[in-house]
Amino acid sequence: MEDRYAEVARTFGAALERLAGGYERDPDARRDLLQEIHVALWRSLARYDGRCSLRTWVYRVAHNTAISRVVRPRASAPTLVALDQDLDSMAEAVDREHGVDRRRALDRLYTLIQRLRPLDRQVMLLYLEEEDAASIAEITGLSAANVSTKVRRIKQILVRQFHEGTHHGE
Amino acid sequence: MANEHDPDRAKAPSVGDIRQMWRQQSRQDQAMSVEEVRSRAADFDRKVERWKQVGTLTVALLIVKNVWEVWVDTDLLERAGDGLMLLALLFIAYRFWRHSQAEVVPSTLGLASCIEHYRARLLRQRELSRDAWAFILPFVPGFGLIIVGRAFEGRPTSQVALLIAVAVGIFAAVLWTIARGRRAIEREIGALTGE
Repeated sequence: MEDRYAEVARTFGAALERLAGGYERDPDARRDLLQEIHVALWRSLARYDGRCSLRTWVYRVAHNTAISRVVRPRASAPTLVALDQDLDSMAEAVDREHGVDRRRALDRLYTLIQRLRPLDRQVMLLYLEEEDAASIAEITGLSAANVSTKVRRIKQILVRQFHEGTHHGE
Repeated sequence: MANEHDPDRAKAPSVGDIRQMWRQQSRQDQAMSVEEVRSRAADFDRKVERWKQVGTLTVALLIVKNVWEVWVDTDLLERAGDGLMLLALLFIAYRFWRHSQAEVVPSTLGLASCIEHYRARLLRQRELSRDAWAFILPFVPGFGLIIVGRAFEGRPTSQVALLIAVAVGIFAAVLWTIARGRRAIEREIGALTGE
């Protein structure tokens, strides 16, 4: 199991760090979440029986751990939005004062991700990791058609957000 | 995707650029070694064990306090009330214990897809908040008897009325807060149903 964990940490370490950043922006909270994900992976790998690919397993454990820790529906919690709603207010939330240099572009992307509802956030994070629709469907449990719709919406949002940002910033 | 005819938009990245930029972020945290992960897993187990001990100790102290009150109270009604409060406490402790047994353990996290895991989690939260009455009602008979007992002890009516008002206020506030949280959970479950 140690070898398998070491392989997972080596292969997915960077992706898991980005995933944790999609749930927690505060550096300490992000680090805590990342450690929690690694511990969950360490424990879970003993149960891994090959019924799905290791990649699917790793992403499921990571996202399920993050959801358990971070997303708790509360009456007082900030409203999260779906990919197909309230995009104007989402656009308002991102910083349009500057051009799209790398750091600002990433900040903008993280802001966008963290305003999304849990499942949409997971699809967005997996899409950014260049997972294909079939993998995203297997990891999230959404239908392939639903994933395709969401991915199409994500592309539109990204284009709009970054083009608007550039336009306003110049 | 950049529009060649619009100089403002010329610098806008394509979706492919954005994904590449995402994947090329520099790592901010040191990778954890196997030893470190093993040690953190052990720390986590110790922490869970410590919380269990703290919970058990708290319930034990409350039981001792209630037993003591049943023992020393002279008024029959108050003693009966203390006894009922003690039973309510044991019942609630049992319910929390049962709830904690149903917690998802990390080793099973990879078995469920994200939507299954999230829905299961929401349903458990809803079940817990739906049962709010079952967590509060057991304390009502005991508390009621204690208040009646004190009223019969010849305390001023205003004091007894104040006590009742405070108790009702606390119960109402707790139930209102739980109901509000439940509505948020219901909304989230409703949104998942459409997925």
